[in-house]
Amino acid sequence: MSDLHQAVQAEIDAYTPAAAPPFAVLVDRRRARGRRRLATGGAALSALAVVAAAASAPTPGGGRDELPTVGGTAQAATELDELVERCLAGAATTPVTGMVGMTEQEAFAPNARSALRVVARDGACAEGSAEPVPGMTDVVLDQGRVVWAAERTALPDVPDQTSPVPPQDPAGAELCKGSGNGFDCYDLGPARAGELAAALATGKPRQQGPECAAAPAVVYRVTWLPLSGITDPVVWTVPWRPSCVPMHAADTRYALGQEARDLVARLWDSAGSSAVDETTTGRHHPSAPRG
Amino acid sequence: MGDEQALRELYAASYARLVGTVGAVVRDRDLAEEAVQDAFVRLMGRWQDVSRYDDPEAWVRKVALGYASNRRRKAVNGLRAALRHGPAAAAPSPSGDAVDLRRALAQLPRAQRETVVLQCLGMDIASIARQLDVAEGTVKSRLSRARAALAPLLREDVTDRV
Repeated sequence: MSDLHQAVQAEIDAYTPAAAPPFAVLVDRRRARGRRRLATGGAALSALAVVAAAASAPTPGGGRDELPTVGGTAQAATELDELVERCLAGAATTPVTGMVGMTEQEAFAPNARSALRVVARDGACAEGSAEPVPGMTDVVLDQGRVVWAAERTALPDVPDQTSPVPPQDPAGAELCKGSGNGFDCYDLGPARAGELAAALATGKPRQQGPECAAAPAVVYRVTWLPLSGITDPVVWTVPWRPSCVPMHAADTRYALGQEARDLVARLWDSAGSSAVDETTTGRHHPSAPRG
Repeated sequence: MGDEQALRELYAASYARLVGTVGAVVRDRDLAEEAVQDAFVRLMGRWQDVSRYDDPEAWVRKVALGYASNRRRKAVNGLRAALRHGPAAAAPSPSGDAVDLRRALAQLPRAQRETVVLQCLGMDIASIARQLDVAEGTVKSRLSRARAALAPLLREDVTDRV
């Protein structure tokens, strides 16, 4: 083996992990990826076939054996993928909700409302709210198989157990401002990220009203470091419109006080206007839409 | 179910190898793991098609390298996080010429390093060209330039390759 091959092999060895993480990690990532893609806004529909075929399915109380299937596992998953794509492409107009990659038990667990729910209504394709929207159709998939779907008019008022919580000692944060069409971002240093985390921690759980379902609004978005590894970033979207949480800001589950909102705006202005000091404010960069 | 089992088997068999390869290109294991996992996630939605390919692993590697390439900004953030939280894992500690060569390898432009790494995996020029979506001449050019840059540290004759 040549010197170069040995050097390259040493590089490869140095970056080779001892083992792969559990396969379930991929399922989680797929779910999170779908959530991010859906949160970028757009419009809605497609898998009408999926929804229509499943619309007559029993309610959640029904037995598993009675539940219909749509196609095979991979086919149903592909159909949902197509729904997502068409939704993002603005081709859909029908309300659709989906939960991807969840077992039936997970779908109806107390914290299920934080799971991916595809909502497409009135030209807006977005991630679902933490509150049911009357007339919205839920589609529940079990490993790609449609196991349940129904018009949902009510949902038990169960506390959301998985709302993102700002880390107490963040290593940093990416602060973005924008809408579903795109975001501008700055990397905040630890000090400012810590200040921001403390302010956001004062938020109170809130319910999202259907009156806010339509219009995308400019939002601030915070992504805490670390971003790497198998852990998906925690995305915290801060409502800019104080009285209304935009529908696509699905991770906005907290109402912020005026003081916190002011701080977010001030940090943004400070990051955007200061002569960039990478040790504190980081660098400015555009960002792809994300949830 | 058999299809999914095959996917799981591919994942188990190739994950570490793919992370090592992508990591050697981007020089960041976290970024490599993220890219490879995202590539597998993408594969999950296309497994019916990709499973018919001669080499599904090559498809994953190509997608992962693309993801890694698109994630330079995240790589910077990830590196910052890694520095703050400590190294992910202990790496072997080579010494002497090997250190110099690895250092020089790391300083190659990414496109050249990528090409060298793939060649050292045993891929021929045509395969590398397909993997990277470039012309074979481009691959040869990159390899030639990489070897020229590394020549002072290589004991072998650099003129009889590529």
